[in-house]
Amino acid sequence: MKALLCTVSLLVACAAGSPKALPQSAQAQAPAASAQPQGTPDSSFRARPPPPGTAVEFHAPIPTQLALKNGLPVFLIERHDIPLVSVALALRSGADTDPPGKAGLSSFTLDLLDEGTASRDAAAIAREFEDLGARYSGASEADSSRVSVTALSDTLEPVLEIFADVVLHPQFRAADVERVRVERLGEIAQALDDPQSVGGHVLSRVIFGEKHPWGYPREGTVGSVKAISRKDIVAWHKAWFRPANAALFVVGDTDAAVLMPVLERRFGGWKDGRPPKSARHQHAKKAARVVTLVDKPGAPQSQIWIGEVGVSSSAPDIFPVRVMNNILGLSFNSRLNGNLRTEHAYSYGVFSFYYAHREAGPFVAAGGVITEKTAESLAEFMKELSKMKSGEVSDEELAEAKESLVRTIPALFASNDQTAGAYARVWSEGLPVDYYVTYEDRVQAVTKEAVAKAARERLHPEDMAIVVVGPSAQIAPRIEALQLGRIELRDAEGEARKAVSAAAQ
Amino acid sequence: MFAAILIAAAALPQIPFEKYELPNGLTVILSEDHRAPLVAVDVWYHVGAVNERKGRSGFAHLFEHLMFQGSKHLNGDERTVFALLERNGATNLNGTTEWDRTNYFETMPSDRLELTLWLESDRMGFLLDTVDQKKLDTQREVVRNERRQTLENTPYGRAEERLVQLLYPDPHPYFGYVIGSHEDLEKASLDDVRNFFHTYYSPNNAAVAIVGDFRPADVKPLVEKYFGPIPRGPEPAPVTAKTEPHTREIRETMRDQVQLAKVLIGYVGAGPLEHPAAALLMRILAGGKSSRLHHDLVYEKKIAQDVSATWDPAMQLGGLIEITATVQAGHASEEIVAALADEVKRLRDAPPSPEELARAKRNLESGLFAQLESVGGFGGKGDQLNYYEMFAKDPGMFAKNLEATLAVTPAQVQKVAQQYLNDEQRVVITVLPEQKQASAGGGR
Repeated sequence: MKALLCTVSLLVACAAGSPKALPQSAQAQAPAASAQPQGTPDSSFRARPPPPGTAVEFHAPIPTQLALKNGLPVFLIERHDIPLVSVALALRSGADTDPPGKAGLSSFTLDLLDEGTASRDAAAIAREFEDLGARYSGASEADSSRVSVTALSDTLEPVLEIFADVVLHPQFRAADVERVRVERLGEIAQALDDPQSVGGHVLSRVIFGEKHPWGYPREGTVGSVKAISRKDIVAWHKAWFRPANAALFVVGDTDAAVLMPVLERRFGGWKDGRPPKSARHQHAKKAARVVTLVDKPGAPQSQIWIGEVGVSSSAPDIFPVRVMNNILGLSFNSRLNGNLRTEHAYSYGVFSFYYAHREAGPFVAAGGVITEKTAESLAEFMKELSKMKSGEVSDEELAEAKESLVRTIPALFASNDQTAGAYARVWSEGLPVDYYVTYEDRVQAVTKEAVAKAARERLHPEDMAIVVVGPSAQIAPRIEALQLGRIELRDAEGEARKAVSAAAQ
Repeated sequence: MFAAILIAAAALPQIPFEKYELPNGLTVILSEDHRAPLVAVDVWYHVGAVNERKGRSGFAHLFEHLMFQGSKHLNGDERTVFALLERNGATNLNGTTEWDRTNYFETMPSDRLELTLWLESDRMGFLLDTVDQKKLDTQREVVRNERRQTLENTPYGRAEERLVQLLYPDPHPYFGYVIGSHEDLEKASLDDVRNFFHTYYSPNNAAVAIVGDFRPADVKPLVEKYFGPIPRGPEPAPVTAKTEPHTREIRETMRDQVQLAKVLIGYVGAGPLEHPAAALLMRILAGGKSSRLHHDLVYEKKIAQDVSATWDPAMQLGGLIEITATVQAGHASEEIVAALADEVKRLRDAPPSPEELARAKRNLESGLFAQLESVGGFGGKGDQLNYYEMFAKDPGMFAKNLEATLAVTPAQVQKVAQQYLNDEQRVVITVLPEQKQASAGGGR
């Protein structure tokens, strides 16, 4: 598993792609081995890539919509070719509900579900799931949470019994809370040692500010995790784990006749009641852009993270934005990666991404670059962002980005887990259940003008937050010379720091 | 255990396949799977870091990057190659280099299969037509950046490398840790590229697995058309390097820019398919929250932040066994070294309980079911078939090995522990925080 060629480990890796033409004329400069021992004979059929075969008919699987008597929606997709069933319970609440000073509360709560119920301790839960060959996970996201389990179809019933116990009856015993708190503090310490996650976290802080829950890591900070009490956790679970705030997604080798009575038995007693209204969050105040440096003495690479508030998943221009970003930095063959990696060899790979939620999440353009070329790399990032904002995309870029988005749809549904996850996301983001039915048409409808407009309106390179994690004494002077803004130092948690390096004033 | 009864009836994971060889020696493995209109092509070249010559560590992987820089009929650079695949809907598109093998794979909409065969055959047959100094120099830098990013600028990254260097000391071909050293990467020349290609990238040293939504009758003529004309190459010389057994424990302490100490213990383990018990042994140690290390060190004693135990099943000169634990704040690394040694000793001294073993088997099996949901990509069906073809010359060994694994007895697990996990055979690396750091943040 060593040494992959992949773009960036953070992302969906090299999936979903786009542009760049086939070279029309083949010019091989300095052909390597003319005296090959015995070369492959050339043939005319090799001259051009063969056209596609008979077009593939693909229709995204549409879930059957069912409901329990208490109103809990159940989305079911039957697939009987493999004896597995994936079950996901989604909530429309996540880090967005973390109260001020308690960043990480939702994530902490989700982490604790399988650490003890009224009738089972953590060890028993782990052992019972594993005895049944079930794989369990639970985590909170920006504005949603998901608890998932995959079971062999033969064991679906006993697995769902434990699953429901974990979801509905977690006990949050003090000893378990304290044990998991220590583990979380350890995880946070580990993340603070990793320049890549530091880059992402500090960027979020600069973009969203200290009053917005998205300004903090999902797992929380050292301070916030210490401040979270057992009472907070119990209250969070009580407030947001409600059938009116949840939905179940089941994909795999089962059917309604088998499934629904089991679900009714396990989740039917779950009391209804509307969840509280989510608080509106205050965004960071607009101010002159600064360039934030986080010092990592001696680092052979700098992590460059650039971003701003992006788009919401239901924004009217979400599809033009997706196409635009595919060209800009999502595909391997994107402008950013082509520049920073293929042209300049400054990086192993860079990317850009829109995290779209019910509200606008961040737009992020990022990558690790060789320390000596930090300022040059940053300048190239800014150049590509400005070019995308003010320029046009070519017909070729547009066609290739659209093709790539459309042709990769079937792969979204390759496994039961992926399919359950795709629909949990659609539901969590408040999108219609026929989202993937209309997806292709909506991609195909995107015009060059729409992409240009999306770039013009959505990208603001002149204001974007810039975070660089690297050896600040070494890189600060040349970054300063780019005149992108005043340089400020922060620590790895994103807190302002007194300037230590002479370079930063 | 009620679970054991429930599961017994469940069908085992399976991969139906058909295998044949072209006259030029290329092994072809076809496996139909009509769940989705997708097809995965996964080409394994039986070459890896193990074949690197002295002074050229990292070369097999650098070469892998060059395979993405275009070929005679797809002239351009990596943008050209990725663009073609991406706009045709490729997912799970990548290349990977390991100790003993290198692979190239992509999952495509099934109507793009011919295009994929065209591309893979072009780089197998016509790579050298367009490789030049500029491409080599660019990818050399990209790879050095990869080394900086994934190893030098990643917490504990250098310790992982050091562990391998101590277990497989120079001049062992695994010493280079696949990614290689900056010094050796700088030496790689176009001559090296040509020689490597001619020596190892021939059809008789490769196998192509095609898995997904196609009909073999349609695909066989296409495979013949595109790959058939590529001439057979020389048979690569067998690997002669040997792994010297370790007879004395090695201990090292390293410093890194980290807050938590970490302990890494390595052993040279079994080769591919030598012991079906090896994978189960790792699961019993650290395969899930109820595994021994997790339960005892993380849950009960609370001295470890996280634990892991892995065995690499694809190293012909002895698979790396690595047991790690991050030390929980307030505890000493020596405490962890002792606790890990105790756990390993327990496995040598007594067989695991039947329940533990059954649980390990069940999770291995359900994990395989999940992996087989993917036709391609990391560990998907294409990789499974290719793995067994490479190490057993029989993709059907997948099923046989699974049956053998499910039949493993507690005594066999103990025997493997006794063979490979002795204290005098181990390398212990302790990573300590570089300096007293002001406890980060503390902030809010």
